Amino acid sequence: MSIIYHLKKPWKNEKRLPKTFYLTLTSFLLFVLISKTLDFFLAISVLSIFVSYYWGEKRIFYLLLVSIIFPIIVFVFFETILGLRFPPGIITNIYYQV
Amino acid sequence: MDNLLLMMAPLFSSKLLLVLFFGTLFGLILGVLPGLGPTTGGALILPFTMTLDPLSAIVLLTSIYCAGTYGGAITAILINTPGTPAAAATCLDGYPLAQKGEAGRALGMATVSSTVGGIFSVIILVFFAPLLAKLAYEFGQPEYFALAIFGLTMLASIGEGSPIKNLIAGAFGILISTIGKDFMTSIDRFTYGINELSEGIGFIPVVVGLFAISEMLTQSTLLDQVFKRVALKAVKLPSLKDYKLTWKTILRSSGIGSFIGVLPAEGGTVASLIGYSEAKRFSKKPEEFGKGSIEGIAGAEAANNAATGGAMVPTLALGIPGSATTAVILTGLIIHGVRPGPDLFREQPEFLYGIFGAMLIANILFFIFGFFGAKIFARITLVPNKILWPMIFAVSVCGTYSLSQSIIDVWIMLLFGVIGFFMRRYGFSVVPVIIGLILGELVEGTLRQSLVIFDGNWLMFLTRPIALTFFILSLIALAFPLLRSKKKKKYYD
Repeated sequence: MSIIYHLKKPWKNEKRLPKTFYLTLTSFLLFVLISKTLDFFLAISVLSIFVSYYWGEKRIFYLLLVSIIFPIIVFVFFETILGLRFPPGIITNIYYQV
Repeated sequence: MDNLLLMMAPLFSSKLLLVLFFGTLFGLILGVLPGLGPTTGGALILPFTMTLDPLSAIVLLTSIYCAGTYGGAITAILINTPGTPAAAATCLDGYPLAQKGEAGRALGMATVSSTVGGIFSVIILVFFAPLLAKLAYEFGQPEYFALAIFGLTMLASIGEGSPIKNLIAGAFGILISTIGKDFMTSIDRFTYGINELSEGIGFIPVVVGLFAISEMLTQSTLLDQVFKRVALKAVKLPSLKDYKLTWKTILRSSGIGSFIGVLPAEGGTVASLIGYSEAKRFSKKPEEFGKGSIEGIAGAEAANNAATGGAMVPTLALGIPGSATTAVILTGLIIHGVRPGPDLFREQPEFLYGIFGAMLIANILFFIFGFFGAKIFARITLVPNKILWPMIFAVSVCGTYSLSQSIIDVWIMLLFGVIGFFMRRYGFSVVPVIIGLILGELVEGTLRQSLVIFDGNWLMFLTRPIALTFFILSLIALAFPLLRSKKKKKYYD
């Protein structure tokens, strides 16, 4: 009882969550779905472009930077320096020449 | 003398110096960026440390810890947003002073007091950690159990936020630690038929989820936030008058910060709040606090950086994290095959004193970087969130995947990101979850082994003086918030 008393309506919150929050959350679901069915790397790119666009970035160069250029740098870095093998998928299979 | 030479070892190794240089630089960048910080940064960099030898890996993590804690002050002073939670108290006087056109003076004081606090805490670490390790030779399983319980109850006493919410979050962390194979019977617990969960939930997916991903979700709700930036010409070293005004505060806060850091589960945030309030209590001009008091900046900054060395004491001597970031460092030690505890002091003194020396150098390095580069580091905050966070997401995902090459870890990270977001939204701190997760395994393991030793007799715990002392301290820690609130009520009445 004392715990309940101390929490004092813990779920009370005055501010409603904005649309961008739900879109970001949706992008997480999209990430899980794509990484499970299509490709891990593609999932990162799709989430990055989705989030960046809905957070307000409309310039093509920056969208390409976050969705393609940067993930490629990260991918190559992890693959070559850390010797990491990413899970198979439509894009990673091309890289691994499977 | 030998130990002093061992401490100087990083100075004579070009590789370690390079690691220190990049660690400090990276730590500063992480500290400057609101939402990121040494804990998230340390968790993200952990997979990369696998390419390094154990000493270089831990030197990298500790330099990120030291520099990241200081870096938070730059944004706290210039844009009134703490780069790290530990810099929250710095905003109170740093930003008002910057608004008066004295941003350089505010940053100069923050840099000097952070460096003094950091160096002071390393000295404490050098002298105190071996003593604690010697004491730990007397510890058996019951004593470690009592110590872990003390660590958990400390979440209630002086942790951030509501004590009960902190305890609930800590209990949640312990619950997560029970997922996977029972170490005594090898029976799966709470795995619900998912084979990947048999080994338990990894620390990194939880940390990255709770800190980085939940912060990404939080940032998605703050897109219309506009930061007011104060112009900075150059960082100024404090004047003689400022030194005269603040040297007592800096020393006091360094002591407070080191002490708070040593306490299990408490870190820089609590240290800086107490350091700040004590600076105000002892000040001759308490009315200036909140309006740009130089003593306020010194009090908060010396304390939060002093907590770094203090927090390393229980981490290295006992294997109990002193803060959320040291929990990441502890994980780094474990994945590199280094077992913290008293044996480490006897068997690998060169490793330990190498870390101590590296922390000392990191404190000097961030002074140099901060003094000459604060203006440049402040510009990093200009990178828009819409570009920064998708990039952090890519690194988080790959970093989490890389540790055990498991896609389930990535999904766990996302799940904990959502859990962390809602925890924060409803006033729960995520730090106790991390502490609970780390201490949970220790609590369960030592409890069960103790009960085997005691033949199932719980009362035998009370026959062990050290364990009994920790239990009494735990009761005090639990009762402390109650006493504090009664005292506050009496004060306001």
